[in-house]
Amino acid sequence: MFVNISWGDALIPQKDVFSILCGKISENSSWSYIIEERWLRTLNAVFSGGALAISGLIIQSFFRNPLAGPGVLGISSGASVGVAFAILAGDSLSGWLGFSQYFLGFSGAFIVLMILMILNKWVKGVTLLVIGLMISFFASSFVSLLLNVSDAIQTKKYVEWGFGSFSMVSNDSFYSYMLVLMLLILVCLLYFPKLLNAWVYGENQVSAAGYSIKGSRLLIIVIIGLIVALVTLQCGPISFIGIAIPQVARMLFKTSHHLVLLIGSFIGGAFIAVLSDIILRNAGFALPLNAITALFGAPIIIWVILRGSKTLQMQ
Amino acid sequence: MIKLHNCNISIGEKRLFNCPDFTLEKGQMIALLGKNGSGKSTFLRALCGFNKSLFGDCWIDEKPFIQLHQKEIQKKIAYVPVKQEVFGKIHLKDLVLSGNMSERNFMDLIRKEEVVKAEMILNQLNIGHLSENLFVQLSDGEQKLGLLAKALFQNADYLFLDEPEAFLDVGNRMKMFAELQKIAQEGKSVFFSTHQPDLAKKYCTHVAFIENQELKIIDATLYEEQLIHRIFLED
Repeated sequence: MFVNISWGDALIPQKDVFSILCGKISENSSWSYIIEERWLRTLNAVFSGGALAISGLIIQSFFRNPLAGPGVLGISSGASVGVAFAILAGDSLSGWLGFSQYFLGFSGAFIVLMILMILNKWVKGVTLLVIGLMISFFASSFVSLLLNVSDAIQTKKYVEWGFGSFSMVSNDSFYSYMLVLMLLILVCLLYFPKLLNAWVYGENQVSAAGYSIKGSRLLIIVIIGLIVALVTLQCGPISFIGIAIPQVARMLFKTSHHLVLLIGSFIGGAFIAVLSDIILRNAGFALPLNAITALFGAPIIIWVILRGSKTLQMQ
Repeated sequence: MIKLHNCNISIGEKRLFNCPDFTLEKGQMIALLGKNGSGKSTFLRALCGFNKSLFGDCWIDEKPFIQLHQKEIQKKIAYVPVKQEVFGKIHLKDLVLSGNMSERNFMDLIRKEEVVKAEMILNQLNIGHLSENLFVQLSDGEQKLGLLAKALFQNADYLFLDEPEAFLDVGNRMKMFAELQKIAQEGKSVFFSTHQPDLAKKYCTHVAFIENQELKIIDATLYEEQLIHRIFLED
């Protein structure tokens, strides 16, 4: 985190960085502006990345599938369609993301989640993943159609959003976004460990642990939908953090206890998000965030598939 | 005591069988016989509250079944499925410890005494050395004993098992049923479905069977070979 704050295009002495962080005002006022910007950006990366990894872990345990994730199942694509609609339709909107973007983005993510939930009764495992991928493709071609009928400025705005970035911290809704996201993460950490521990044994164990199956299923869906939609709306569709980090957490920790896995996933997600952001900011040219997350994410997924069948029950 | 009166087991519109009278008392060990698809497993799971297929008057320890919360049922009835699917790095010990989940809070923190108790039960079933092994890497028979260990860990008054003999070798089968008999003699109730009529005669106090879509129950001493013919071969 500190590296990300102190390192950047504008060279600022480490001493000043530290003093600004501690609340003291340095002699150069523009520096404190830069630091503030970087600090918020890092905060954004930590919580967005961590939340994505947590949502990935929950999705995997919920669908009992090691290759499930917010990106693979098309949930973030659903949000993308909503955002595309909003950006392309609502030119009256000012600022980065307005209310209609949020509303339509949420709707998109939840519609996909509902479809997946209904399908999950009949199809399992890889079949569901393939359907999720198809939903992704369907959504992205739908977006292409929308882009076709829109003007250049709108298209540019959407494409920029689609690259994914933690830099959008200047809009008014940023603080409320962070607050809601932190609350959601807290709910996950406090309420979900036992529920997910039960969920990996199947529905009988869920009701044996004292939960209503319908109620907890709805709760999980709503929480996942909220997290993925929020992060996708704020930072763009970020790939691979949600699917790869939980795998690393499962590998690193010898336990299957979800309290450990949730915390581990959060830390891992935050770490990779900040790391990607450091690379992104220091690359010198405009790189999409997704290019970096895919660089480390894709090999992890391949590795999971290769060693998968034994311990993770690929179907 | 579990008491059923004028009940039926139905899935949707389809009625699987009627159950005019059935009781399961303390110290009893009852085998449930019936053709494939006659509704044995559905019946067991219905009594555990895992499905809504049981209709009619049913009481568990004098309390009406429909008024019992799922959590209360879990304290009374431990259930052993034919097979258990798990996801993730579940060790045998984790599975056994999951038997007590309804007692813990949302964080599912496991106390040291629980671990000691789990290890003790595993040792008692001679699978203590496997406690740190991944559940999916155990053989089917070892998994079955592990599931029994989980049910014992739950320490409920009623123990329901779906085909407990499945996947077990002769030695482990004897061990399993000796254990079940011991549990029944300790004053608990054991109720299991099976496809092995000889087990019913050898170990049980009573035999329940589904004949012509009706659940009947007889004393195990009255059980005779003819019964097999009646249950399984006649339409």
